[in-house]
Amino acid sequence: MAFGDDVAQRGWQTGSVLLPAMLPALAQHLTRPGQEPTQILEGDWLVVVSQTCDVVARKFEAEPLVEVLHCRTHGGKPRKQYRDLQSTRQLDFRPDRIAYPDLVLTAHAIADRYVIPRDVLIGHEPDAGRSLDAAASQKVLAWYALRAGRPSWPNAFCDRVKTVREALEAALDDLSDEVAEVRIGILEKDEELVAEEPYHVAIYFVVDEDVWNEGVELRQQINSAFNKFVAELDACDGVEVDQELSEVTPGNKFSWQDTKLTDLWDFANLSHRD
Amino acid sequence: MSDTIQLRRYTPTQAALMQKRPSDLIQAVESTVDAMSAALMQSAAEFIIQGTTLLTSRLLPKQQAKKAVEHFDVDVMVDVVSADWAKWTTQTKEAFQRAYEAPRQQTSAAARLRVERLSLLQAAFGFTVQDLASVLGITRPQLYKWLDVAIDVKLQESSRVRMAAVERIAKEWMARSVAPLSSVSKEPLEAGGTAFTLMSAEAINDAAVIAAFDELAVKLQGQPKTRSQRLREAGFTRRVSARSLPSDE
Repeated sequence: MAFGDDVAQRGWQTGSVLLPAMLPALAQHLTRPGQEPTQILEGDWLVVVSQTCDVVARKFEAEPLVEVLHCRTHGGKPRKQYRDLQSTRQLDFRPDRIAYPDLVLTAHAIADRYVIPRDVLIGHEPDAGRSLDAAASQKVLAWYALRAGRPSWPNAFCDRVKTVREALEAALDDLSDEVAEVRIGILEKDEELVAEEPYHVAIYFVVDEDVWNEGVELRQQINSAFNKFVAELDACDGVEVDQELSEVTPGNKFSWQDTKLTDLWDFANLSHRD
Repeated sequence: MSDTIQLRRYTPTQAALMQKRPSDLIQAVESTVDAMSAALMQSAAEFIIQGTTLLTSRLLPKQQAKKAVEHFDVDVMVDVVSADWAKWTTQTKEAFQRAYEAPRQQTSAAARLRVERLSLLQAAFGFTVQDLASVLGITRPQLYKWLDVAIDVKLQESSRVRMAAVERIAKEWMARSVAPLSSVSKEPLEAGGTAFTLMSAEAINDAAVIAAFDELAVKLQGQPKTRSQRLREAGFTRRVSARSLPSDE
């Protein structure tokens, strides 16, 4: 049997949790140079975060290592600044809403990430009682993708926008990604401007085509959110919204060209200054 | 010069200060305080050494001279100077923090209603802000003010009448189509002109506009499908985005 097939047959995939019995063999891989070995406490989860296709790659040599994330229990609800991909550094999330409805885990993207030899998986099955549900697995992978793929906004821009962050979040509270997407064009996107120079931006709320054509109420909500968002951003010291360019527009009219000239609005882009 | 106009003159330094962001000023003072403390310590140390040397050579026996300058307490002097500046930066930071955290303005019920009515017009027609402003008979910047719920705008009678007229014809359009008017609003009509020109006219001719709507609603239904509509009808689906996953709140 191919190496990867053996791993797959045992049930290993993104979101699988390593059994406590595996930890002694892994201790050396959970240690960083010059630091004490990481303590994995009883309630902690050591979760596989490599993509499943890499976990079960046929040849060992193709993927000799597997990434795991040390997730600790967080007492209480997920913290606002760390839940739902608001931060690319720390993530508070619910691993399994059905099996563990009250459990919240937390992890740092890099400090809690380790790599272990993939052949460790051959001798064991994943923890049958604990695993990330599909939504949690997708969330963790999206979190890493966001960290690596988010556009870099000027520090000066982030500092200015942070002063109105709460108001902007409130404006977008009821807007789901499936209905409309917020995009921003920043004229001086690669420049750290001095205090006297404002950033010039254009804002687009790109609306799902079906919503645009069939949903008056939803369109009204979207327009309302757009009006609030633009007003708050324009009132922000050091930021000027181009009101002639900014608009609410259906997705089928927002071209590939337009996506290349704009960034997806993401509050996580502001968090790197924390 | 007019008696009512006061001439202001600023030195270059004052002008630069006036343009600075408050946060930059606070930071500048904080780093000056740190630099000052280090500079004062250095000056004090040098003073002690120089003082000892001078008094020893000129006036007093060595031990007595050294004791005289050691009464100068460097730490106390540094504390007094840096405490005043530290107090200023702390209080100023707190004041600006309070200003930033305060809501821009309490919104009035009238402002909220005004913005709600305008949002419905935007939803009904799907016009750009410029086009909606033309239909309402105002400028784009004016409409942006009307759309800002934090600004209390007193609409003139003529604006109120116009808005009511536009709301009337919006209802007529919504009765004929759930899609917004914008994609066909500038299509030529059989009777000439376009729906947009009829709606932007100084006086809105309701009958002409309604006839245009009847024609355009039919036209809208006959529009070719877009690429994404054809893809969806063929069974293609979109990937769920991470932000559409259930919130962990």
